[in-house]
Amino acid sequence: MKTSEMVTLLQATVFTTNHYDETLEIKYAFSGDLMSDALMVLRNAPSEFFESGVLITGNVTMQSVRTAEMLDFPIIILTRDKIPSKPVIKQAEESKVMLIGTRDVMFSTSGKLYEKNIRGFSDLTV
Amino acid sequence: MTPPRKQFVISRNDFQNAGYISSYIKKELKKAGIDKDVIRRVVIAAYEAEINVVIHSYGGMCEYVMDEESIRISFKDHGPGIEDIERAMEAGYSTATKDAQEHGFGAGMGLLNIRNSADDFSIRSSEKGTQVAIRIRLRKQP
Repeated sequence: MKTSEMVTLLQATVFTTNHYDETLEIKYAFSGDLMSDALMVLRNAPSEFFESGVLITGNVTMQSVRTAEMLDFPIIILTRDKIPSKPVIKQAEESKVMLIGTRDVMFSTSGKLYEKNIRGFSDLTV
Repeated sequence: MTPPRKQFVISRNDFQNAGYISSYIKKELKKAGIDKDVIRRVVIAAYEAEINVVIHSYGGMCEYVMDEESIRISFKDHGPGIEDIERAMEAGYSTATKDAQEHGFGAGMGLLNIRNSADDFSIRSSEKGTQVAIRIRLRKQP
């Protein structure tokens, strides 16, 4: 699924208007508010998981951007209408992370993407 | 050419800048042409350690040294120290504040994740401060 299709599916807002690649192909996702969990669980995930992956979170702080940057996630989806601050958007653009937001809660966001064949880390390891 | 050594200051509760050092190190490793999987291990360990200094200490510093073989990163803070290191290494044990948890950290997995990401890991702590040293080999082992 391309970024633009994901944005349409989730009726999402693109916050990083200076950094948006609508053609990026998305295959994987990780959902969670706990950034240390993402760093722990995904430590041994293959590079493709990150490079074609999205981080779905309700964590609207600078640390979700930093976590995406460290792990090489190109996109963060902020759930439940969370609005990032200007410094967070600026950091995302500097870190080359697309920041988009949806009204959907994390469960619905994840479900809609799973229905479109976006897969999680445990699907790779089973 | 990659600078072989650099020092940084880390301020207490500075969540706005936490991650800057790990981001800097990541860029330097990329410039040096290091494998992506190795870079990820380095920055996961560095980022967790950087966050630990922000969350748990009165402030401190980080220094990294890189050579052909490996990167060594050390973190030293000014206290108050870890009361029980063995417990701090247990999964799920945390003394983090609610503030730290709101930033997505403080679930009691940081030290364990640093140790598991590093080839060598050491930690020493007293009330005067905590020192964490990490070494990660930069070339994949055959």
